[in-house]
Amino acid sequence: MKNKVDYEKLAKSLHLELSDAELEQFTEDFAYFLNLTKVYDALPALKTAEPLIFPFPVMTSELEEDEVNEKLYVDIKLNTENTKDNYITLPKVVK
Amino acid sequence: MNYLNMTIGELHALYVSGTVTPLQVIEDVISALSNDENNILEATMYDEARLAAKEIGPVEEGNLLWGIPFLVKDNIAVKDYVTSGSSKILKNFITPFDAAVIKKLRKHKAIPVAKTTLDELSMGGRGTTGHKGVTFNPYDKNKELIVGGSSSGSASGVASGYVPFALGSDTGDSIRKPASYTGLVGFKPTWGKVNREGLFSFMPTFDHLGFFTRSVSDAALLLNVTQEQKDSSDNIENITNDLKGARIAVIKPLLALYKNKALLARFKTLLKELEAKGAVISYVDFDEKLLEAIYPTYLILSCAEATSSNANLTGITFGERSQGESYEEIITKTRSENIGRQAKIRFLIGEFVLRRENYEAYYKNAQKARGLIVTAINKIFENYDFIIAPSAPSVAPKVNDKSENGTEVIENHLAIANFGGYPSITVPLLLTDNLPIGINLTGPVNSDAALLSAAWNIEEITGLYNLHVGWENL
Repeated sequence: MKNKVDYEKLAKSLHLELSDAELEQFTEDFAYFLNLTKVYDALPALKTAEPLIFPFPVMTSELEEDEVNEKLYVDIKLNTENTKDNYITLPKVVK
Repeated sequence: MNYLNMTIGELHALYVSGTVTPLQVIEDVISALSNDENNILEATMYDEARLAAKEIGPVEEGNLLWGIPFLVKDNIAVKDYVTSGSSKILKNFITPFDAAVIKKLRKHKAIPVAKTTLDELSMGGRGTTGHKGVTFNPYDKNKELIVGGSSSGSASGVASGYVPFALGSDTGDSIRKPASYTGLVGFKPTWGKVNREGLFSFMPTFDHLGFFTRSVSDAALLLNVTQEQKDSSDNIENITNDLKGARIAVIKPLLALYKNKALLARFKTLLKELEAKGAVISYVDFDEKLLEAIYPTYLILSCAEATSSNANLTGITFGERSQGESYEEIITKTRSENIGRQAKIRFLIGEFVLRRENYEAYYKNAQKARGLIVTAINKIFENYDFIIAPSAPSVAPKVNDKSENGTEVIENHLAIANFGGYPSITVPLLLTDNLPIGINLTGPVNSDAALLSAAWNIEEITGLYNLHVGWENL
């Protein structure tokens, strides 16, 4: 990834469009970020290290059972005007 | 007389003696918040707070949180109020339930009064990227200094003396760094001790809930009340007035990076004072390249997780929705028009490191680096009870100051505690030019009670207890 076209392509995959100012800022920040990651080249132990997802066994997580619910959840109803008959409304156009 | 600027314990004593009622205190808090000039407020809950104070019932002597007002970082759900994450895309997002931590505090009859500003979606360390603009440090009347972030409004509010405590969240240092800039106690317990249900997810394996207070004993009380599984070792009564035998490590190559003379002098004096209380101080080695890897590793993992955590911000089922002719156009316009620049940049980096062609070099290497860092810290904890270091390299910087290249390690080392889920606390260390700097203690997983006890001893040494600007002086 080296140029504006690449960055815009990356943004598009996230459903984002960048203004010129945002693109300029990202160019600067991305170069800084890449430079920071060069430290990994100086860590030979990385080659044999195991990836760490989480550092210790978690004893307090509780999973709730999934529940089938045909009606829109209360938080969705609270937070969008775009509903009709318990469905979310969208334009009919599909690309 | 006003009843602000007090710790939880002080206010509780006045309630028990009948000197003041919760409603009088709530009215004082509302009056002070209404005059706030530091941009700390996202939403207010004044009517509900008044009602809760009116209907609270008789004073409960054994319940120190009875009638205590508090502030809530606006990435924590409060039932029927907007929880915006200080993002334009969620500016009208109403949460239909209380976060688990709010439920526990309400059960103890503490009273939430307002939601506070943060860096957008918690992504930032300066308190400058929220949709309402910069949150200011109450220590600076000229409004030039940052308060730090991401829990900026909560820090500013407690330092202003409006309330005795506030809730924050800490993914890299978002409680402990602002606490340093505002002379507060900033505490994040061991990962998972305080239930995160109802906290906006930024980086689930690093996210912690925690507290801003003006005393260590208040922080201990809050852990006692809000933790999920009671552990007798976490009782406040376990705080002891000595450090006999406590083994405290100073990471040599980290300390070598600090330049602030007043800070270094006070730090070295503190070490002697801790020794006088029975602690054993040792200087330990640490791979300098691993220290340098902390920030890029944090960036890679946090951006990657944030990209995933916030992928639901589409405007389709909640949040702001821009108009468009297709499903895709609605999402693109909504996200582009309603997410701020800093958050977008972090999402882009997250997307970059997660791509198949980059995954090994960035994301997987970052997971490995996290493993190396945690292993190295755990090795220190095999021989030592705590790691001690200044919480920040200096007093709060100015809003327009940019972080200097080469300061990444001392600006970001507190993230070590998020890498390993360790309990970690900042307490005030000194005032230089009337501006505070904090000291940080980090301990092994589940050493929260011992950590609080050690922090309490530091508070006793420094005498910097209940520091605040004093809202009447603002």
